[in-house]
Amino acid sequence: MKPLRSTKNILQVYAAMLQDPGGQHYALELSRDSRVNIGTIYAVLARLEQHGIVTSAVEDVDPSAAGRPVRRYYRFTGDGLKAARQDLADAQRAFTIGGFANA
Amino acid sequence: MPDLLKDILIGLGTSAFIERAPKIADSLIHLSCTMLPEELRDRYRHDWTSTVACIDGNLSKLGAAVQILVSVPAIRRAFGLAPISESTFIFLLAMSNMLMGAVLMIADFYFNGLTGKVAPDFLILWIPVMWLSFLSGLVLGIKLVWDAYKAGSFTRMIFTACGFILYISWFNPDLLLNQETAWASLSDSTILPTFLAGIAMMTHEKYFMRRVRR
Repeated sequence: MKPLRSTKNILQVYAAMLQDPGGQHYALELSRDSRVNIGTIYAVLARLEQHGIVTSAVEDVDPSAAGRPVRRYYRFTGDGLKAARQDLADAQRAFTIGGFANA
Repeated sequence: MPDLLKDILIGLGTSAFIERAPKIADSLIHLSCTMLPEELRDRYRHDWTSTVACIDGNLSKLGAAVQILVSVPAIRRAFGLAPISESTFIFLLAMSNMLMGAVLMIADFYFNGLTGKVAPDFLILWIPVMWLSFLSGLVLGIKLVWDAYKAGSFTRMIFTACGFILYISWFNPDLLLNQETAWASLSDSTILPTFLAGIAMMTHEKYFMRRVRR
């Protein structure tokens, strides 16, 4: 498998998930928080899941009692959380050094 | 047409489209799922259906379904698969064949009055398109016959081969070599049959063969 390249979309998803690092997130929520369109969110989450950054599980609720369809929740794995923090920090550092900080 | 009537018809058409948008979204999700391998279909059908159901507004649901459809190649790549499956490739090939047939038919209709007056440059422009249309049909035909042969289905192979032979016999590329009769060949012996053959092949692949596979 090819190593995961941190694209803009992936970093935006990391940033959204890191608002609650230990929490569970569903695709629509992540799409809204990260401003990545819903189709791309699924592609990003599939890549993250394949690389062991996140895991997913379908919630165990009764849809009629919950009043909404059953969701699939995504959460960071232990290593995934470290990798996400590291990637986001690297990106921020690169942006600060090469970007507006020196302008 | 009076303006008022036009406004009413446009309004009715728009509201009918908005009403039907969730159903179209469902169809798009179904289409997106068919582009995934079988082991992923149930998972994504459930995920996408529940996500789209939670979106407010009929057109927003449709927009989300379109975004999902567009992202399918990226999801396939995430799972280490080719961006489009073989059956999608065949479908796109058939569609492009039909589309080119339709474009040529319209062009032929539009320029028919100019037959004989059209400069050779124009034919030089169209002949490659015509050939592309022919070749894409050819590739599609070979692929369909080969698949049927590999699957060991005699009936399916005969059906496909008959369609393929019909397609080849309708298309008469030799006439294109003679520029004086080029327009006659485009209008009479190639465009419409190519178009019809495209429809026939696509229908065959999408419905008949799929039913047989089940």
